Amino acid sequence: MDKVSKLALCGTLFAAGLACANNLQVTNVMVSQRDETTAYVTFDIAWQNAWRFTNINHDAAWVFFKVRQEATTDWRHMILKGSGINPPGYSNGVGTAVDLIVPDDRVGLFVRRAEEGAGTLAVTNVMAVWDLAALGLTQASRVHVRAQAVEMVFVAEGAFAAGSGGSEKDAFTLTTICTNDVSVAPSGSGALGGAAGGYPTGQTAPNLSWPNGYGAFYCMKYEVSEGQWVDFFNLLTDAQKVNHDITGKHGYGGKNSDGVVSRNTVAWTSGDATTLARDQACSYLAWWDGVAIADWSGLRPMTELEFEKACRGTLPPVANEYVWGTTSISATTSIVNDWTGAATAVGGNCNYKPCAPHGPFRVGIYATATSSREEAGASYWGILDFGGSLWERPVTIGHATGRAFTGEHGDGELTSSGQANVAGWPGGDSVGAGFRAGAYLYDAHWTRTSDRENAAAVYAPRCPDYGFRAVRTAPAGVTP
Amino acid sequence: MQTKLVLIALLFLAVNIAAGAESDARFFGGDGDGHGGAALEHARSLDGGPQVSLWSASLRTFLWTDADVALEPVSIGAWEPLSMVTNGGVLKICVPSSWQCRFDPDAVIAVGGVAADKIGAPSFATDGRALLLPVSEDFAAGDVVTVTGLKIVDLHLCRAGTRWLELFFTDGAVADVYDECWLQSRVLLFGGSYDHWGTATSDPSVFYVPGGSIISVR
Repeated sequence: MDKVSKLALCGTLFAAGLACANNLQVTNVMVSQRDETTAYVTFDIAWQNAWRFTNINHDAAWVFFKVRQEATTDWRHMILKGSGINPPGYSNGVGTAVDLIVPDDRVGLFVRRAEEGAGTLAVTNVMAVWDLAALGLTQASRVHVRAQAVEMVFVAEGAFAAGSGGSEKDAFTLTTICTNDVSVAPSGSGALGGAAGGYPTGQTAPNLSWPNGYGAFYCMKYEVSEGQWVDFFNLLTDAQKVNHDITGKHGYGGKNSDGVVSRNTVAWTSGDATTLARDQACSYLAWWDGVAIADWSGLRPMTELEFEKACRGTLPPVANEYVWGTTSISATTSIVNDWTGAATAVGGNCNYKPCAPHGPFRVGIYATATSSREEAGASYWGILDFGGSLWERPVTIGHATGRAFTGEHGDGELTSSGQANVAGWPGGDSVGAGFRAGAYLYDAHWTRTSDRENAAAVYAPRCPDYGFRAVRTAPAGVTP
Repeated sequence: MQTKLVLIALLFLAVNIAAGAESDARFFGGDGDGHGGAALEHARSLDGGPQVSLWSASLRTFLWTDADVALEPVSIGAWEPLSMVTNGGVLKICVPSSWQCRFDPDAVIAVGGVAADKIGAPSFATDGRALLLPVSEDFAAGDVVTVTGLKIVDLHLCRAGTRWLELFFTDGAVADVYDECWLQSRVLLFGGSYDHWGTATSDPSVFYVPGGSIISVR
C-alpha cells in the first residue's frame, strides 16, 4: 500500500483554536501571512441575545488578543493595524452581518451587529489585521495567540440626569448633564430636571478630559466573572500573579484560602488558578486588581457620572429609583443549578442583603428569555447586575484625585509587578475611586442609582463584596 | 251520585287554583332570555361640564425597541359640547405626558367622521408631542371626527407601563379627556446563561515559511 504524506508549505500555516464553553464564544483562532509587517488573525465568534436597535443602542463583543512568542513566558498585547469601522484589509466573515470597529489606539476591536435585529449572533472567519512590527515581530516569528472577548453594551451620546431629586444619601443635586464640555457650570433649567451644565450642581468641575457621561461609551454588560479573572490571572507572569493573588492574605489581602469563601471559588498556589464557577461574579477584587484587568484588557474605569448615565439612560429620573428605573426591589430565596453556568434565581431581581445564598451569583442571572427590564434588574441600556451583587468602583468627582482622571484607556500592558500604569488613573491606594450601587452584604437603599454615601470612600483592601466593571469610550463616529 | 262527582271536581279545581296552576305564564318561554343591559358607549364627565370623549379603535401594545408604532384610528365625540368646541378653537391630541415619545411628524394624517368638515388642516406642535386640529365651525351634539395615520416615535423614551393619549379642548394645564383605550409599553431585556466572556488560544504558528514546495513520500 502506497503511503503518501504531503506537507504543503504555501506561505501560510494554520492553527486550530481551543475554546471555552461560554455563551459568548470565540473560537478557531488562527494567524496567517499578510505582508512583511502585518499578519491576519482570524476567529469565529458567537453569542446569544445580541441586539442592535438603531434608535437605542446595541451590544458588542470587545475582542483583543495576547501574543506569546514560543520559548518565552510573557504574553504581550496585540496591536492591530488600521482603525475605524470596517477598516481596509479586515473581513467581516460569514454569518450574521457584523461591523468591526477598531479604535484609534488599535488595542482591540468591537464586533457588533451591522443591521437592526436581535437574537443569536454567529459569524465565522472574522479577519483582523495585526501590526507585527508594533511588537517587534517578523514573519519568521513563531507565536501563540490568545483571543479574549467580553460582552459590552453601548451607551449612546446624549443628555442625562445626574441625581434623582430623591432622598438618597449624598446624592448629586438633580442636574441635566447636557454637554460633554465638563467645564460648563450648571445654570438655568435643564430638560431632565435641575440646572443644565457639564457637571452636577454643587460639585467642582473636573479636568477638561474627564468623561462626564454625555459622550458615548461602551460598558461591560456584567461584572468581571471568576472565569474572566482566572483567564487574566493565568496569563500574568509569576511576579504579577503574586501581586494579584486574591486567594492570599498579603499585599491588598484576600480571602486567605483556596477553598470556597463567601462563595468565591478561585484557587491558586502556583501555575494556573482555577475556579468552580466561571460564570459567577468575581469577588475579593481590590481597586488594584480591577484597574489591572481593565488596563490589560484595553479598557478603563468608569466615572460616577458615566455610572448614572449607564443606569438611568436618557429618561427623566424617578426619585429614589433603583438601577432598573423603578422603586420596587425583591430578594432571591435560592439558586437552582448553582455553579453550572446555567444557574437561575428563585425570585428576586437584585442580589442584596436579604438574598440567599449570601454571596455573588452567576452574572446576568436575572435576565431570562422573557424578562422585563425590572425583572432583569437591568439598566436602561441593558447592562446587568449594576445594583447589588458586588460594589461598582467608579472614579469619583468628589475628590481631587478622581477629578484628575483623564479617561485614558489601558494599553494592554502592565508593569512587571502587575500594576496598571495608565496616566491619570487613581493608584492602588484607591484614592480618587469610590463605591456605587451596593452589594450583596448591604440593604436595598445602597443599590439606588443616585446613592453616593460611599462615592468617594477610600478603601484599598480586597473584600468579599468588591468586584469590578470597566468601560471604553466609543470610537468616533460610532452611533447606536 | 252525579251531584257528588261535580262537587269533587269543583273541590279539585279549587285546590289547584290555591296551589298554583301548572300552565300559566310563569312556565312560558321563548328565545333570548335572561339578560339585558345598556351602557354609555363612551365615557362622560360627571361634573356638569362638556361631554366630549376621546377613544382609539383598540388597545395598543408595543416594545420600547420598536422604531415606531402606528396608532389605531382615534376619534373625538362631542355629546354635549356646551359651546366649548367652537369655531376658532383647537382640539389638541397629545402623547401621554409622562412619556417622552412624540408623534411622527412625517406621518400622513387624515381626518374623517361626520364633523370632518368642521376641522381645518391638522399640524404638529410642541416638538411633535401634540397634534392640533383647528376647529372651523362650532361642534354640535353628536359630532364625531376620526383621525387616522398617527404614528409615535422615540418609544425608547417610554418607561414600561400603561398610559393614555390626552385631549385638550380648553386652556387647562391638564388634559380635559383621556383616551378610553390604553397604550402599553413593554421594556424587555433578555438573557441566557454562560454569559459574558470567551477566550480561545491558537496553536503555535508562524506566518511565513519560504519555499512554497510540496514534498511527497511514497
